[in-house]
Amino acid sequence: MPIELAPDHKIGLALANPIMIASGCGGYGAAYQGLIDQTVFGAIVTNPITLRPRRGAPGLRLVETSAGFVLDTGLQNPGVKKVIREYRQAWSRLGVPIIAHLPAAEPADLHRTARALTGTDTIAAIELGIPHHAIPFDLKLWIEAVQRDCLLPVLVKLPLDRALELAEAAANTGADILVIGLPPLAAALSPTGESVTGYLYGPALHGLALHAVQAVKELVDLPIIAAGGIHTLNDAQAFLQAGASAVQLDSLLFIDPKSAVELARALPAD
Amino acid sequence: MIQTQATIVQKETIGPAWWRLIIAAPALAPRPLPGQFLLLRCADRFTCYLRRAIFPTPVDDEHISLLIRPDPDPGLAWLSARQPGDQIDLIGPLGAGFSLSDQVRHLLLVSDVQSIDPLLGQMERAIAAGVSVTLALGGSRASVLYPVSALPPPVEFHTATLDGSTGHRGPVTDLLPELIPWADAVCAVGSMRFYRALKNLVERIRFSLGTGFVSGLVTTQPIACGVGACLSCAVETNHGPKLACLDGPVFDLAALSV
Repeated sequence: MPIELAPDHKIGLALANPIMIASGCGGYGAAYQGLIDQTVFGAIVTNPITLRPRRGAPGLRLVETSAGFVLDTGLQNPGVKKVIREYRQAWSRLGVPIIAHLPAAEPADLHRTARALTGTDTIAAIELGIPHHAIPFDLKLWIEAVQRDCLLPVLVKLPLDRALELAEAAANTGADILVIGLPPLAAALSPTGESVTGYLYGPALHGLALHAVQAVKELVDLPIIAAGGIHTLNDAQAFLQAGASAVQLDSLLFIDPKSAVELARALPAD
Repeated sequence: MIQTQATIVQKETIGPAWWRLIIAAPALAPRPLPGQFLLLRCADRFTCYLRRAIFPTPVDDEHISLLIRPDPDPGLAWLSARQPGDQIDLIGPLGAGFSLSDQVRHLLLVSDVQSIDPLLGQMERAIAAGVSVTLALGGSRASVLYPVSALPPPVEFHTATLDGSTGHRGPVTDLLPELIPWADAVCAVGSMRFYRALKNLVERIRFSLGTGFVSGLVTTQPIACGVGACLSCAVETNHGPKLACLDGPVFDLAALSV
């Protein structure tokens, strides 16, 4: 039996497996196609898609840390038109639901980006990425902009270090599902002394995310997808036990794609 | 590309500080081309978190060799401590490697980053095709340079060290004004600063840098995923940002924004 992640939504979001791939870790859905069987995953969330192309961060983007890394891509992406042109065929053939990740932007831009993606009929849902500096009122504008001409379920991905203070605002303004969450910001120095500020990835994220999931679960009555630092079956199960309906894998894909598949095979929907 | 466990079958020292690991990887398909890379797990747990990009040289249909240089990187240190019988988890082959046109009779290889492993496969391919090969090898000091005694005999080599401990004293680019006029094609591995200098040299000596003359392998950005997902390895080109893991790591120098 598939898991219904948006039971109160007209279209809903049914996954055959609670293990998804997080935004930023699977490209636009086809990156790992030649390496692993991607159809075992419940869904793949795309890399960030913006209305216009973004060149991304100049210079060094990644610095490895002890048991992790700091990454800033600067939202590099070819823009929604080109993404649709290049990937819509792949999306309908991959055999796994695709969720488009839209980083928060000007409401008018968000509206047009979401409308263009909905029009392809190949997207299962929209995931809206909320930046670390957001205030509750921003969430209302962004979520309304996405939903104006888009009937798909909307996942709202909160920064995990601010999930508790933003969760109610997301729930009250129409989010169908909460994703907890966006990795915390961190800085690191490269061996040559260059500093990179960006998202922190690695196993240490798991504890931070688990705490945020537990706290938000007490507060808000929406389905929750947990994301952050899953490296083992135990990590995934801890999120599910804390009340998450599904989980997203992140950097495990980079360091051991095969074990990501094994993890999904060990956790079929029941 | 595949992800597979491969077994170390032999470990040889080269010179005082370098290692060559011979690895049985029969499942690795297709065979890696010169300039293509593998991503190796270089830790038992998460201490050394990301995979390391390593440039293999095919030995035969089932074996590849990996050159391990002296390097402070904890991942490469872990790798150099592996012994025959140990298993290594690898993904590959990845990326777009060097090409070798039939027109090329004189191939110049240049490295300013001590390591020449990305060039070894190209060197062997060129020798097998009857092409004359010259290597210009540069580094900070003699002790970090690849031991030239281990080079195949047909290769002519020139070395340069910043401290003058072997070969010419100065950067490797000092050697090139004499070598570039001889070459039909150049394959290089180096820093962006080196590529800037190389581009200026070629433009001065040949009046322009046409497409296809210099192929440069870019290793300045860490490659985390190898499949175009993480966008960590962006390289600026005249056609916008490209990814070292998919569009490279070998780029035409004429297209690189240096």
